Amino acid sequence: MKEKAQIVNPFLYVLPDLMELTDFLNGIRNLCLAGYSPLCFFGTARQELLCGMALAGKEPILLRCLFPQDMQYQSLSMEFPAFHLFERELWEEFGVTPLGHPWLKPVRFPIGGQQSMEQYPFFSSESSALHEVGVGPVHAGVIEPGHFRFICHGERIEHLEIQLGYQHRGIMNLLSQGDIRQKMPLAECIAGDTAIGHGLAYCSAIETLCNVSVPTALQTVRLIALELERIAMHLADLSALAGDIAYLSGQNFFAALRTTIINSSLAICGSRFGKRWLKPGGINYGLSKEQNSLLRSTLEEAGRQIERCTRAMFADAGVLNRFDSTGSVSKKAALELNFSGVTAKASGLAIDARCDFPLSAYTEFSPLCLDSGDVFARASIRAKEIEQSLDMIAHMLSTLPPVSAKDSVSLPPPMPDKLCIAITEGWRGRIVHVVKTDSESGTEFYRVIDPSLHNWFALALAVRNEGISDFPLCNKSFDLSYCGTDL
Amino acid sequence: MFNLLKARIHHGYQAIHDPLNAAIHPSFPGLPTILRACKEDFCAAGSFCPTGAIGDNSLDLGKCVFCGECTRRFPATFAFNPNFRMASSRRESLIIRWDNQSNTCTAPAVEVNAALKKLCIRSFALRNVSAGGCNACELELGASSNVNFDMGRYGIEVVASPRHADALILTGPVSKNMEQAFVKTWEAIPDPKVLILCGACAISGGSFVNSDAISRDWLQTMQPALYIPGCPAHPLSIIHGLMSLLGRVK
Amino acid sequence: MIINFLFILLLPLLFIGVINKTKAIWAGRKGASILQPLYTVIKLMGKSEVHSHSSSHIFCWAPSLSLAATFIAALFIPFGAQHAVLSFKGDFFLFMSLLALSKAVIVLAAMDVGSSFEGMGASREISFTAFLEPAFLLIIGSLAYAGGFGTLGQLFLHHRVYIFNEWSVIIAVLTALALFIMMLVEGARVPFDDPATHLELTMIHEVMVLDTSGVNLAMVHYASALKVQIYASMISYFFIPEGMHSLSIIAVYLLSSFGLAISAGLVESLMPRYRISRNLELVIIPLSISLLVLAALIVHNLGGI
Repeated sequence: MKEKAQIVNPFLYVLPDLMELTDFLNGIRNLCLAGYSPLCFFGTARQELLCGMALAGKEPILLRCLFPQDMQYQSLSMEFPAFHLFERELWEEFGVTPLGHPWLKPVRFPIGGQQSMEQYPFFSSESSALHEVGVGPVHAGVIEPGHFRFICHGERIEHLEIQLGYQHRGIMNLLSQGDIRQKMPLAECIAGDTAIGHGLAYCSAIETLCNVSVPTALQTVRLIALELERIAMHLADLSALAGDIAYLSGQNFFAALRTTIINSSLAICGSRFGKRWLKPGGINYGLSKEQNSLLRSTLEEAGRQIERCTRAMFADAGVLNRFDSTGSVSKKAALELNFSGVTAKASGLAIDARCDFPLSAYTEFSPLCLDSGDVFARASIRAKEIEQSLDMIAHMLSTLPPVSAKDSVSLPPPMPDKLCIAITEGWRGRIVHVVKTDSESGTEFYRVIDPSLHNWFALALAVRNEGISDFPLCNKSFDLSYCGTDL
Repeated sequence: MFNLLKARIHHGYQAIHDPLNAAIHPSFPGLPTILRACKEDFCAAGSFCPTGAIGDNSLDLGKCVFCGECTRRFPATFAFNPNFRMASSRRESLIIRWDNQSNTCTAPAVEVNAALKKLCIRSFALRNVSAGGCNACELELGASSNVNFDMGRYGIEVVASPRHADALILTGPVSKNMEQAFVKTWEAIPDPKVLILCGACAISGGSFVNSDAISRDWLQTMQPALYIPGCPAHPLSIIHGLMSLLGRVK
Repeated sequence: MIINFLFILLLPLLFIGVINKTKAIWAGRKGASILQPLYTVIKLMGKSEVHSHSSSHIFCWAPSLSLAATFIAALFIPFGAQHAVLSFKGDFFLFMSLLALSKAVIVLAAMDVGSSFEGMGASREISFTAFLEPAFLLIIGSLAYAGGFGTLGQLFLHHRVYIFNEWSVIIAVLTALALFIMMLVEGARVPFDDPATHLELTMIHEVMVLDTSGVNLAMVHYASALKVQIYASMISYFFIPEGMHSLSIIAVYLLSSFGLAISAGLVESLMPRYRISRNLELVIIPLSISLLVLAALIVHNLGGI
C-alpha cells in the first residue's frame, strides 16, 4: 500500500527564471537520471521552452529557457526516449529542430513541403519479400480516423507506423481564447469519452488559478463521476475486445452492463458521458439521499453481474488462446517511453495519478499491476480496476451526505501571471493540463497532454512480430484516443 | 460453461421493447421549448451561450450543445424536455422560434424521403465518417446497434464499406485533415445515397466553429437529408431520426 | 423438380436469416427478421454500382460467373426432393470444380482491385481451400466408390443413417461433422471468420467483396448463402431414410436445415474466433476425418477387421 503523498494536485507556480539552453538541457538530463519523467515539454508563442519534470509523490519541477538562437539543439530523445513525441510537437509547432532525433515527423498536421496528410513520410521497404498494407484514415467500423502503415512479411508484421492528426481541431488554441472560466463545454470535448477526466483537470486548474476551494462533498461527487466514467469505459473496452474476437456473449453482456452504468450517470446529470455534470467551482448536479442509495444498489447489482461475466470470459479457452501472449509490451519500454494508465500497469509499472499526484479529496490508493504486458494483462487490469472503482464509489457514497449543486462556488477572475499544472488519472492514463495566465488575467497558453499521446507508441511496439490479423485486437486492448492525441 | 450460463441467465432480454416510443429518464435534456418571449432573457442568454445558439427570439438546435446554462439561469423562458425526437430534414426547422400568434414555439420535423423509403425501407445501410468528432457521437452511433437499442431489428445497420452503403452519417465538425477522406468516401457510395449529419459538431461545427483547423467548405455545398441534434446525439434520437426519414414512424 | 428450384431460390437467404436470429436470441435482443438477408439483396438490386479506377473488366463479370457456377453446382444436389435436377456418373468431380470455379473468380476479382488487404483476404481463402478440396474429394469419392455408385444423387439415396447398422452411423456422423466444418469455413462463419466483423485486417471472405456494390453485391451475398445451403443439404440428406414419401422428405429436409442453421448460430454465439494461423490447423480436421471415413469404409466393405 503506497503512502499518501504529501503534495496537493493541482500545482501552482510563478514562471521560473530563464536559464541558459545548456543549463536547461543539463537540468533535464540530471532529473531524468534521478528518476524523473517528463510531464510536459513545449514551446510558447513568446519563443520560450518550458519543461515540467515529475516524480511520483513530489511536486513537479519546472524549467524554462529561450528558444535556441539558431532554432536547433541536441535532441534529448536518443538518451531519453520519453521526449520523442514532445520534441516532434515542438518542431511541428515552432520549427525548433532537435538534432539527432531518430523519428522527426509531424504529429498532427502536414508541415513544410507536404501539401496534404497523404504525403506523410512513412518508412518503407524496397525488399521484394515484404509488402506494405495501409489502413485508414476511414476505418470499416464506427471509429475515429487514423492511418496505420504496416510493413509485413506474409501475415507477420515487421513494422507498424501510425499517422495521426486527422482529428486535429485546434482545441488548444480555442482554449486559450476568451474567458478561461467558460471553457467547460470545450474541455469536455477534448475527448468526449473522457469528459470527466479532462473536465476535472480543467476545473481543478481553473479553480486553483482563481484561488477558490470547492467544498469536500462536491469534490467527492466529482471523484465519483470520474470513477463511474472509468467503469463505463472499461466495460466498453471489454465488450469491444470480446467483439473483436467474435466472442459474442462477452460483447453483449458487457455492452448491456455499460448501458446500466451510463444510465446511472444520465439519471444524475442528463448525459450518458457525464457531460455537464462538473463545472469550474463545483458541480451542476448534486446527489440527494435517494439518488445516493439508488446509485449504490445499481452498482452493487451491476458488480455481481460483472463478476459473473468476467469469470465466464476469462475461463473460455478460445478467449485465452487469443489474448494470451498477444501484443506484449515490456516493462523497460513502458518506463522509457513514458506510458501511463492500463498500458503501463499491465506491463509491470504501478503508476497512477490517484496515488502519485492525488487531488486533495483522495485517500489511500494502491494501483493494480500485472507483469506480462499482453492483451490478457490489459483486459485483466481493466476487469480488476472496475472492481476497484466500484469499491471506491461504494466507500465514498457510504460516507457522503446529501450534496446540493448550490454549494458550488462562483469564480472571480483568475490571478495574473500564474502557471498551473493539473493532473488527473483518466481511464486511459495520466491527463495533464498546463495553463498560464497573462498579466491581464487572460490566458497565455493552455496545453493538454492526453495519455494517448505517449501510449500510441506502445501499440507500434506491441504488434511487432504478431500476425496482422491480431492487430485490431492489440489496438483495442490499448483503446487509445485519436482526438485526445490530435487535439 | 456454468459461469457462462449463469451470466446469460442474469443478462436476460436486454433490448428496449419499442425504441421509437421509449420513455427516457426525466433528467435527459432533450427537445427544448421556449416558454415566453422575453427579450432581456434572450439577450443575456445569448451572451454566455458557448456556441451562439441563442438568437433574438430563437434557439438553434443545430448549434446547441445542451449545456443547460440558459435553462438554469432563466427557467421561465427556456425548458429542456425529456423528448429525444429532435431530428429534422431541413436546417431551418432546427431553429426553434417563438411564434407570437400561437403563443408557442416551433418544433423540428422530419419529412419522409420518398426515394429512400422506396428502396431502403427494410434494409438501410449506413457508413460512418468521423471527421474531427470527440468520439462521443461515434460511441452513441455504435451503441445504437448494441444489444439494448438494437436498430438492427429495423434492418438499419452500419456497414464496413462505402460501396455497401446507402447513406453517409457524418460525426464531427470536419477537420481540415479529414476533408479529403470525407469527400472520397462520399464519392465511393453508390446512388441513390443521402447525407446525414449527426451531432451539433456535424450540423454547425458545434464548439469548434471558430477554429481554423476545421473546414466546412465542401460540406456547405451539400444538401443533407437529415440532421440529428445532440451533444452527443442519443441513440434513441438517432434511431427515431433514421426511422422518420424512412417513413416508418407513425 | 419445381421443389428443387424453389428451395434453391428461397432457402439460402432464409438459412442466413435463421443463423442471425439465433445469435440475436442468445444475445438477448430482438435482432433483424429472418427475411432480412432477402430484403438486403432486393435493395441492392436497386442500387447503382461504383467501380474503382484500378479494377478491370474482371471485376464486372466475376460475381455473375461465381453465382452461375454455384447455382449449377446446386442443381446436382437434391434440394428437398427425391432426386437432383442434374446427375450423371462421376458428377461429383464437376460439382467440386464448379464450386472451385466460383471461388476462383471471386478471388481473381479481389486481387483485381489491387488493394493490399483484399489480396491478403484472397490468399487466406485459397489457403483454406487447399485443405478442404482434397478432404471433400476424399470423402465423397470414397463413399461413391465404396457404394459402387456414380452420381451424387445416388450416393445420398444409399448412404442414410440406418439405426441398426453401426458402420453406417459412424460413416454418416463423421461425414456430417466434416461437412459441417466445411460449411462453416466456406460460409465464412465463426470460428473461422466473422461475417459481422468491422475489422478489415481480420476479414477473409468479407474483405474480398469490400469494393463490390449494387447488383454484383447482391449476387455475391446470394452465392455465398447458396454455398452454405449446399453443404447444409448434403448433411441433411444423411438423415433421410431410403424410400421416403416426397412430402416427408420435404418436411425432414426443412427441419434438418433449420436445425443446422440454429447449430451454426449457436457455434457462432458461443465460440470465439480462432487466430488465423490456428485456423489453418483446424481446417485440416476435415481432411483427417475424411481419412477416417475412408478407413471405416474399407473395414466395412471388406467385412470387418
